[in-house]
Amino acid sequence: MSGLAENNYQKVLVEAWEEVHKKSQLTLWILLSLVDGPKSMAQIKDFIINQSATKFLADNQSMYRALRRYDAADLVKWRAAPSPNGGPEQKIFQLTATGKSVLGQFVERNIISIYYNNSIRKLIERTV
Amino acid sequence: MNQSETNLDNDNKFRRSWSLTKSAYQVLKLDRELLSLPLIGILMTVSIMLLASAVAIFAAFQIGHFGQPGTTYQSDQFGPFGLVGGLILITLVTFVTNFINGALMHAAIQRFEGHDPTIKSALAAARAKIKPLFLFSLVVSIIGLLIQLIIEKLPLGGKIVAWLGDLAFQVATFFALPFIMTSEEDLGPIQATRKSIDLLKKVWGESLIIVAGIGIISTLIMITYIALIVGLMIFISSLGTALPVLIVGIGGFIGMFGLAVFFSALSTIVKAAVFYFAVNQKSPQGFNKVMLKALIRPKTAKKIFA
Repeated sequence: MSGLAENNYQKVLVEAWEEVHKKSQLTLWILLSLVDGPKSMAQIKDFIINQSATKFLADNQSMYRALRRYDAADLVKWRAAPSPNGGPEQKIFQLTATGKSVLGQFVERNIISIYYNNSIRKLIERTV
Repeated sequence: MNQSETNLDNDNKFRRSWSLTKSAYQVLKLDRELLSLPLIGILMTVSIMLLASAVAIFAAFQIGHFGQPGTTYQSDQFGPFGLVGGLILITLVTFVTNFINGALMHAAIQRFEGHDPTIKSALAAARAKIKPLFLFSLVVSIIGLLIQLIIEKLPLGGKIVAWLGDLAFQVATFFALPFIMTSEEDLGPIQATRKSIDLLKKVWGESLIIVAGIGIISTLIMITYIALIVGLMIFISSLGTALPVLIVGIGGFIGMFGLAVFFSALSTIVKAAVFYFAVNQKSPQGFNKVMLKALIRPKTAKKIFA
């Protein structure tokens, strides 16, 4: 395969992997965004775009569906608040005690214990 | 699971049963009039039993059995007519119970979906299912009577087997009634039992523990209540006055009857909630996250994050 074709092929693979990876990260990013306090949907989206290196972005419908599921599962709760722009009321989301605990356990088991591990960290550094 | 984990798990199960009991109470508060349904059921059952007793005593006098020394009564004492009479009685009582519980379950499910049920709508729903309810009650009664006959005839080992068979049948038909009430078509007893067994396989263990937990809670409350009433009666009688003892006794009995009606309704609502969640995989309104937390399974949990 020529150099250009190989580069294109790798680009397609990386982007496909990123796409699948991003979709699986939505829960983590939404719950992480609420760790430092309650947020509206717009503020959650801003947090995710600004903080995720790949500028991970989910559409509004996916975000609302996800937040409804998390509310039903007692991971988050919401309250109505006046909109800063004077428009219709907006929902302000925050983590529940269950949400905080579940997030903490997930992060400990799947991020800290793996990616903060010295040998894994060195392996990761060697890949770039 | 080690002992401390087992204790924690048992504690959690008790807390869940308690949370579900409280949720059922909140649902009942929204439709207090539905408490009259189990009350109607109990009054109808008592009336049937009194009528049946009167008929039995009359029949016994007619055939000369009653009052003879050393007479013991077993199910075959009155021959085939006695058995048929017994079956009719058991079927009637079972049918009344299922009719009332079916009405209450329908009302509870209406409430779970955000509607506002009434006694009229609940009884109308049960009336619409009168044929499948009666057929189911008949089958349950026949099987119950057969098992009772077997238990009487067999030695101890056979009695235990028969008793286990009875228990297995009760477990198998655990969800038969809500299926009969919620199905669009008229389900036969065998169809309803098959669906009940299929659903039980999905929610086995947790759901039965929850309902059993409510039974334990109601029993503990009843025992405490009876102990308080008896204690009060003993105390008052020690003061040498008879009339207050009688008043407390009668009041206590009425209160106990009321508690029985109340817990019967709660238990039916919780069973309906367990059924609703198991079938629809969403928490009934009024139970919200309590039901989800009590009955969550890995497959349901994955859908939260998918």
